[in-house]
Amino acid sequence: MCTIAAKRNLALGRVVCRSFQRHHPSVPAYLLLADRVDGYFDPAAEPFRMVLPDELGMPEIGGMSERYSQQEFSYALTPFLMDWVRQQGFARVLFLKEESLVTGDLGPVMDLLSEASLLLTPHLLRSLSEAAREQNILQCGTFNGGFVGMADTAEAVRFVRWWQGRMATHCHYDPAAGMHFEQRWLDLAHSYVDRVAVVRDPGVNVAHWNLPERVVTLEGDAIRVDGQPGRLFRFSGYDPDHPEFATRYFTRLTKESLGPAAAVFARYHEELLAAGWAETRVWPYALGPKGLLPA
Amino acid sequence: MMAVATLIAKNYLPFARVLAESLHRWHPELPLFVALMDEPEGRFDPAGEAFTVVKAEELAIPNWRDFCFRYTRREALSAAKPYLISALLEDFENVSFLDADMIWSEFLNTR
Repeated sequence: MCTIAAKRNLALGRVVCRSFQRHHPSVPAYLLLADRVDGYFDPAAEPFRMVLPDELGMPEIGGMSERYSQQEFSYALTPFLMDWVRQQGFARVLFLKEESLVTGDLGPVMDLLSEASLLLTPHLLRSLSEAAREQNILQCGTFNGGFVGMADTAEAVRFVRWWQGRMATHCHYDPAAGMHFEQRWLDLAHSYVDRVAVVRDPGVNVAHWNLPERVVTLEGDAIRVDGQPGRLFRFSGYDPDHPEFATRYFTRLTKESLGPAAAVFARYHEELLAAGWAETRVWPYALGPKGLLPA
Repeated sequence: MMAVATLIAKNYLPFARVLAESLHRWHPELPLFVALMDEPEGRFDPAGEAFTVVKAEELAIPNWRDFCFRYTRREALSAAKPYLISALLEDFENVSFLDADMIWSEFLNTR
């Protein structure tokens, strides 16, 4: 399993890695620091194996941090990190975006990779009554970039290397030009790869884009989604300074309208604070465009 | 039984004729339905074509005249597609939709 974070998002990286290892204690978790350490923390004391961009040994990464904002750079590194982790000798690699909480066993989902080269999760699993949110998904991309699995197959490696090439120059937010950072490129996976497994498990990638349709229930500590085990929750845009909203991107999903899912957000909130969110969020970004202030 | 379907306005009639000829060269048994999001206006005889012309009003598009008013020709042709497919699924097991600007060049079931 691997994730990516700049220092200011280190608490998020800690939470996703710790929560993953709670359910998968024997699977190593890697965190690619899209930043420099600069003495702010001790990598040896973290709940992940830290990798730095230079350590990936991929020359294309060279100028990227200077061309991209902090967010763009973090996202653009995704296929580079996945390929690097694969090269460490793993038959399967799971990438999780840093703003995630693993709440259950991901094994049954990863097992789809025994028959497939890539594992992708759609934002939506069934049609909506109104077009507006679907139009938004069509601009962002059908598949969510926060959960991507790959197997060590030739076609997966070919796809991820093509994705790397796009990430070197085309990881921007420009929906009209067909770009939504690293994510929209995943829409081409079905065209380029024979064996793509689409995760249709409602307990995976539960987030603001599908919470209105998913029924979250709590049975003690266990979380269920549409009656299935809740495996992975995503907190895209969640701002611990504004826990009354599910995301900073819009205000229609509030703590009240979330229903039982609000308890999962509260759990995430507590884990973030316990992981040092208040301390790490002000750590400066050391990379970024030269001669400009970092984003 | 399978039906093949396409959608045109009458300026695309020659395209539909070429598609029909090529399709029937390989598959004379397949019926071709050409939905006309337009009126013939006496410029051609639907009964004289090598395909079945489906009138726009047969597509169960709610308020289809309003639909044509809201959309450009190209938009209306695109938007009518799922209505044509579902109309044909009432009578056929399978429906293949093809854009009109195509030629059929092989047996469908040849591997």
